Amino acid sequence: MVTRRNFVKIAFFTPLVLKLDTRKVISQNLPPLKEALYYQKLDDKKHTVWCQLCPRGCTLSDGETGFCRARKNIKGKLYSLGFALPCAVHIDPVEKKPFFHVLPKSLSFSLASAGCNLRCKFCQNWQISQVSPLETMNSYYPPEDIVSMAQKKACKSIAYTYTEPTNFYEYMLETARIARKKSLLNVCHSNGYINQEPLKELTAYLDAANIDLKGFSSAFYNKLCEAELEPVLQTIKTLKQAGVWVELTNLVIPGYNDDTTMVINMCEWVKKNVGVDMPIHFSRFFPMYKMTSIPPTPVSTLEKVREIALKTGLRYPYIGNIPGHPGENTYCPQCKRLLIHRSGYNILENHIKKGRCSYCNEKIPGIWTV
Amino acid sequence: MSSIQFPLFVSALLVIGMGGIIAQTILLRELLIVFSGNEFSLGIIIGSWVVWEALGAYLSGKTKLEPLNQQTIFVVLILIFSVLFPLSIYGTRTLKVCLKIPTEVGLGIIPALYSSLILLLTTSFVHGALFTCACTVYSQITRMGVVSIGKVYFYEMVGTIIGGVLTNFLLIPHFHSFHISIGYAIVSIIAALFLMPSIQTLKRRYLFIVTCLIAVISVMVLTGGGSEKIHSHSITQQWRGRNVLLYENSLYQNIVVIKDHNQYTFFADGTPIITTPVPDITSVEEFVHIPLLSHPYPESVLVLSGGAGGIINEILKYPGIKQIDYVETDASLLKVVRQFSTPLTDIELYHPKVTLYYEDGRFFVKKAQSTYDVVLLNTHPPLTLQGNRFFTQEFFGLVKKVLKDQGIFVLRITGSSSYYTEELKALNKTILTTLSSLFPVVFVIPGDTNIFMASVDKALMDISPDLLIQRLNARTITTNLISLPHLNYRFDLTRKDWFFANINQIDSSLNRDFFPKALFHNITYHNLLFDPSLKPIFNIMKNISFFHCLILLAILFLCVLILRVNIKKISVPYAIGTTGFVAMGFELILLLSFQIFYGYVFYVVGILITSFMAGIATGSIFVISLRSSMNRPFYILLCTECAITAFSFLLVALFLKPNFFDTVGSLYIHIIFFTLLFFAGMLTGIEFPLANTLYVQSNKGVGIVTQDTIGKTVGLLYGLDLLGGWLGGIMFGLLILPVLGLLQGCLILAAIKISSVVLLLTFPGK
Repeated sequence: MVTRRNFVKIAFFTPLVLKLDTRKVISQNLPPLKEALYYQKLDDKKHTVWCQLCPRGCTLSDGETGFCRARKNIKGKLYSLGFALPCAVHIDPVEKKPFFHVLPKSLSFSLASAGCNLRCKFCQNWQISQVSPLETMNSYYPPEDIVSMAQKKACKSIAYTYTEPTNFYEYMLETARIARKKSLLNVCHSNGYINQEPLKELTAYLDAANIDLKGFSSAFYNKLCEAELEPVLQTIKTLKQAGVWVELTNLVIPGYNDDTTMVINMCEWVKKNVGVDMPIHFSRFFPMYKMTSIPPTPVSTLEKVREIALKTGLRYPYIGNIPGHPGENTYCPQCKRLLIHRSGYNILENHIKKGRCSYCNEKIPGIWTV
Repeated sequence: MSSIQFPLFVSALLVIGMGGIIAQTILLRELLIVFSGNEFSLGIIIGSWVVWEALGAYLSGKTKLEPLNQQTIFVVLILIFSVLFPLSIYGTRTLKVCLKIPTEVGLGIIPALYSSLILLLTTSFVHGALFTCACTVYSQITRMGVVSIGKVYFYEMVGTIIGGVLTNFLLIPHFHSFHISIGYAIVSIIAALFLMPSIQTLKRRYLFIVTCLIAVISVMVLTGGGSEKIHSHSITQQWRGRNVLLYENSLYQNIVVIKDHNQYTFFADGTPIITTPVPDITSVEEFVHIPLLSHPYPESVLVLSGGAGGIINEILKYPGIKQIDYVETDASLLKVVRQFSTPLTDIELYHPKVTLYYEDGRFFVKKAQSTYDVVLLNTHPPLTLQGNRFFTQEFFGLVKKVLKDQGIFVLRITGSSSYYTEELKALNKTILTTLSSLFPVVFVIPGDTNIFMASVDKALMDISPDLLIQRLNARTITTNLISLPHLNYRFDLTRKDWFFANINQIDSSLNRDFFPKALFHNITYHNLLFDPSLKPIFNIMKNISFFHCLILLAILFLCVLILRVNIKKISVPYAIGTTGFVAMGFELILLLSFQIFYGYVFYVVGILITSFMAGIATGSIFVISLRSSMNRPFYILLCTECAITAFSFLLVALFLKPNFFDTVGSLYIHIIFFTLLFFAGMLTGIEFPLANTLYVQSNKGVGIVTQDTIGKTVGLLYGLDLLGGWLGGIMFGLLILPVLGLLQGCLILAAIKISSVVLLLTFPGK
């Protein structure tokens, strides 16, 4: 396992390392730094680079790391610090991502490298999202290792999640390419804060994505995430157009994004731009990370929000973090019968057969088989 | 020219003394709600107060004024203080709004530091200046010279004691902060008004008018409902327009109830602790059902803290349950929960099988007569020395005694389902090691929150999801979450292996009452949330050893020696500063020890603190009264220093054999601790007047003690006394005790005092 001390050594000696033959580097058992994609070199004298992966568009001078803390300019080249160095590797039920319309009851090989291009004050995985890969204890798993491990563990998908997969874009892309060849699904959970070009390249290999639609206003994104709303909406549309299966997550934070008008606008946008078949998960918020002095979301608020979604015409609005609530279940939009009965991440009943309601044969969108 | 009448002046001194402790107590409570309350927050808040007070005292001492101007300034300062106090409260409540931080966002150490420095600047600076000014004026009135300092110190301390008792026992439980602060303003203005006739100055008329104006406004605001309006407005700002149904201060904490649609959330010191009618289902069901299903037939359950709002309701589902004892320290909290009841809490709090106990949980367990099948410890991992008492080997030993043969003890610690930071690993390892030292079986269910179950019965190791579900069905219990797939997920061996692989990277260590390692680890983990930039400092602190502390002390000593070239009388200020440090260490140890051996009972702890202050007051007046001692100040100071050193060793002897206190009755425990605190305070109190006398004697103005001299002397020494005390609180409570433990901690205190004795002997400053 590569410790961060070793990694720091790598980063420190990289200018020397880069001059070495690649074979020499491998023989030292140190993973070579991966040059990033989607950036431009700006000024040869100052070695400035312009990262073009996400809407932040960081301009980095030599030695500087981007806002995401995961991409670094070393002598005029931009490197992905988290490539093949995930800090979190686990096997989770796919429902945890959350994906309710993707291979129910299957296991998802989940990974993340440290870093994130947002600063959400309620982040659940702050220990690894708000730090750089240089600060975490990482494992060294080249993309092909990830895929073979996923296969060995009988996982049906690989999930790029926990932190923000955009930060380890190159790692995700390469792993996804290999996984596609091995008939493993590629799924990700992302904040959607990525530029169009890299996103489009990714969609060639991405099967499903859960995008956080954190709040339907720029003010919300500014105040609580230090970001903007518009790029996220673009991402959702692009993914849909590319045929990627998308589910949305909206963490309902009392007093911030539970306003009725905001929710109506959000649901209308979804209906108009990406269609009523896109599932949306409204999750109950509990005090988390920096947001400590706040009540949890009332159950009635979540029910009201779900009701708004249904009235707008959205067919699959869900309520999360309230085990036992009927909002966790999938109902047929046509005959209204219970199709999938869930409790937490567990499937208790499943009446979807070959992607259709077993009662009225209504097509239920999603990925039900590999 | 006449000057202020003596009795009126003494009354004013008492009022000033009261004002200091009232303001400090109220503002501390207000600030704790705004910050994420842990020991560091407490230390920072007190420190900010102390720093400004010391600076105020010092700078005030430096100013040279005509006697009458000095007296005028004294009165003006009283007025300024009385106006600034309520303003500071308002500022505290609206702090986040002013800083444009969402009010729900907690603040870390660095923002807490600059916020409290800004907010406390005005009141504490003025208060410090008042002390020095009072010493100067006292010497003008009585012509007692340097003895004035000791007298003023005494009166101030008496005022502090009165104020402390009044605030905590009478004012806070019955009045809100604005009532108290404006009420105090009126009292201090009256004191100022009485002083005014004696001051013949041109500006007296203007001063008189302004004072009366402020008095009238204050009375109007207090009686006309104005203070209520200010109070409500500030709360609305502080809670950002949420529907605040209740805002009250119990003896132990601030309680707020927020309503959102049909949901009630109960906050303690700004942190939500209970949500009704629908709690965090996952958290509640796992915490109750996994242990109770792991037990073959639970009949009696003990819940320590936070039982209302879901936990007791789940326990009541078990058909075999005969007795649930629920212990909550703060009776006011449950009173408020009852006031805003839901069917859920009505069932929990009025059920015939449930017995409520309003006392400290540790004390309850210590003297419990019953034994239990399951003990649920529902407190968060510790962020204070007081909270750490529930996670120590000593406490676990007490719990073991109240468990029946197959009994299970359950607690929760912060975990992670994605990544363990070093701090989190250390916290979990410490708790696990401590549990394992007493219980042969510890079953861990890792997750975002780790559940630790401990028992002496080996059958606990054989539990499995199948067994638990079998029992669930047999007991016909319905839940929202507990199912076979869910338990399979929670009992997953891969995740367990991952958890143990993580924590086995860390060395084992025990969490003891007098070696609160878990507290340190949790503070460092908590700090990552808000100020990750401070992580390197904590890493250094973690690795500090006794030897390092001695080196630091030696370096400090060398610096003092070097400074001595310029400041010949440095031995006396050094003595006072170090006494402040050491005395605070003593107070901390004794208060913590009392809570360990007896329990956290608000009234008693209040009286213990008062006992310490009474000791200070007694010591100071005692030494002044003894003419013989004031004639040989150096000798007495030296003796006192040696006594303080000896006291450190006494504490080591007492507390490293804690069994002694287990055998002694509770009455004797009270007497012993009152005496020890009184004695520790007395040693501090004796030193202050002596130090001032010595310092003045060794000054350049031989034979003539001017008011300037008095001002400068007291300004410096009072400032150092305060600073020493604050440093002692921070460093001892947060660094020395958690990282080094009590024995080495006391030895360091002794070493500090010895260095002071050495300095005094070598350079008497005569």
